[in-house]
Amino acid sequence: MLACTLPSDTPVTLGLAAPSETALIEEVAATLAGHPAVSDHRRFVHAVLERQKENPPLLGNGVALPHARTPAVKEIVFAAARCAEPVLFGETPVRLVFLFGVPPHRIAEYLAMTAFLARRLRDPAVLQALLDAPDEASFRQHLQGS
Amino acid sequence: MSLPAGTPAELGTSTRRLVRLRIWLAERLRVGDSQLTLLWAALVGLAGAWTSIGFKEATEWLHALLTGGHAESYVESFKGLPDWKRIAVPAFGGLLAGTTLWLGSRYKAKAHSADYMEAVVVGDGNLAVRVSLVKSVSAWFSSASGASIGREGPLVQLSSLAASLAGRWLSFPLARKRQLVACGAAAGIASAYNAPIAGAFFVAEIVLGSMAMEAFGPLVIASIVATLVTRSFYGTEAIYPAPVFVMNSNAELLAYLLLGLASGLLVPVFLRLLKAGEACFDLLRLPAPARLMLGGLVVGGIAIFHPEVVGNGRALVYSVLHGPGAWQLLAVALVCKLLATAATFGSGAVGGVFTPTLFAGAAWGYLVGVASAALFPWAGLNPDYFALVGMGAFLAASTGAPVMAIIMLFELTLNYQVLIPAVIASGAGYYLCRSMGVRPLYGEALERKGAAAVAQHLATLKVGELVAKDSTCLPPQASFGDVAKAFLQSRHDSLHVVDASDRFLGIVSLHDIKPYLDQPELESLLIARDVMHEETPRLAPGHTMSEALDLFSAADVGRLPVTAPDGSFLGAVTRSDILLFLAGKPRSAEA
Repeated sequence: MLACTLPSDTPVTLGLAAPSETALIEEVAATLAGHPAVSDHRRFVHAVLERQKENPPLLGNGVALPHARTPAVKEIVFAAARCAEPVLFGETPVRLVFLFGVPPHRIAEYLAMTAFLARRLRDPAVLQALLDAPDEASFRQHLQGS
Repeated sequence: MSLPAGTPAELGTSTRRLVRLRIWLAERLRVGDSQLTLLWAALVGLAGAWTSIGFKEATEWLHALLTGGHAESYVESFKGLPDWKRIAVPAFGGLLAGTTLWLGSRYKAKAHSADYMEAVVVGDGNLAVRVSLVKSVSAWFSSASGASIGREGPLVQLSSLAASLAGRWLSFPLARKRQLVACGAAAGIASAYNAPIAGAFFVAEIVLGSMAMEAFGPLVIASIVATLVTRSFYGTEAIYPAPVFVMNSNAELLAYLLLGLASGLLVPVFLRLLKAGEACFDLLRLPAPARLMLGGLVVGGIAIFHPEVVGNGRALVYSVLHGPGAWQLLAVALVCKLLATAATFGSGAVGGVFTPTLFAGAAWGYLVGVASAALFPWAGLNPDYFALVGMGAFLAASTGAPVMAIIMLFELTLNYQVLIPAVIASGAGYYLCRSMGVRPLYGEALERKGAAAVAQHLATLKVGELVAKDSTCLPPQASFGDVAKAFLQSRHDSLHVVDASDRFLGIVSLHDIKPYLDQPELESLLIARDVMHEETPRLAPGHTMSEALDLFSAADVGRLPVTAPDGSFLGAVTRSDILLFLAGKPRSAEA
């Protein structure tokens, strides 16, 4: 299994409110708008929304991992958000959103990152800690683990 | 936003274990097309053997019906016939054989090849069923009625036909279909002569003109399986059990060298005689029934005085190897047999001249041995041994396949001591004929079928003609679990991703996903599109074989997708198919 470390500059937004799945994704993606690795923000968001249409990546327990492999990013970019109220992804209520973009050729890192997040977010203790985290730093710490 | 149309199927524990086992096996056992071809070759060998056994038994039955007896050999049964019947049986058989060809001429092959050599060398591995059956039935009448011709032709034809039908039924790509037909031909020879290795060499040397392992391995497997089945039916004895061969001194090798040269001198005469027979019958401009009946009449006429000329000559070979009697009588028998073979062959009877060639070699070898023993009485030369070695030398020189001839001699007689003299004599005969520019027996046949067209046809063949359909393509939306399951159903290490409008999108590599197969949560998060490689090398249908091989070498993969100029997915080509095709190219096409 490949080791994975989340980017240290991961933007984290707590208490986000959005009327819909699309709006929520756009808001989380907006936190990466000025990121040097995002070469075309509009294309990046479009790619994530297109990927949602094909098969929305929902982990269960109110966790969504919208993502896309797209040339609109030069490096792996990642952003996290916690909603104040659940937002419906189809019929599934979601409170935690972990959005990431991966350059097309970085398949191995992409798989490693997805596997890391899925494994970590399957742990009920981690999930509860993320839901209870008082601030962004604490949220990042619980997400990354020791 | 919509939810997925269906919840992706979760991988159960047992499926996950199977996928892991699949990966474990893939990493340790590289089971590719080459290995699978061996399996098909074995099945073709099995089918070839049974078609050969069926033909032999049917021929024996018809022979007994025509001659009214069950003698040990055709020669013996003809010896027991009155004179009029010795003429009538071959003539009637010729009439039936000719009528069969005449009636079957409306099935003249158009799209499909009608000859086993042509199918392997020129065609696409698709033998014409009706034409092949017509030729086999005609050969059945000829063989059973005592025509002086070998049975290997129809045996190879039927065996190759069975292989061709299997290849078509399995929708094999061109190269593998051609390889299967070649395996069928090898199985036919092997079961006809109880000679597994020689059967493979016959096709490799004469038909394919290549000893490349990609092509040769399956031929050996098909030959061995065919021989084993045939032996279980007819027994394991050598077809021509020969006296124990003894060499007293190395100086005798010089005599065998001279025998090889003498064989090399007679072969052009033998081949010219066959051609002359054809030319004579062509002059008569008779329809097939009359032509083949006339051929039968000639054989029957000779059989009144020398009944030993009937049949393929197997009994004659046996008698030469086990005390042929006075050399003068043998010389007469040789001349009569050659005339009978020329008449049968020239009349257009379907069959082969393999066994008549063996007899000519054995008889000529014996006569050379008698002459050598008379010239060098102090050397203690045994003419019987010359007969044995002469078979191989004559076969090598006339077929242009010395390795096959040497191995055939060894397998026919199961006599190991004869090997070194056979190598020397066969080599001498072969090189003498080649230096005289003699076209070998089967080379002549191929030449008539258009060797130039062979080269031209092969030079223009492109990747598009080797494409095989791919039944394990993935849609881009396939879940991670479905991708893992698809790998279970495929023996390839990468799968093609194709969208609903048949557009090729990329490949998913087993190597990429294998570390994550124990994470069931990924099944709902990832789809095939997420993990596919878009920038993958691909072939176009217009690529030449050489360009394809270059691409395979650069990509270092076993299989590449083939896409049309508009990006639509046509199928895949494996490296094995390209290598099989190149290995099966005749020498004439390499220039």
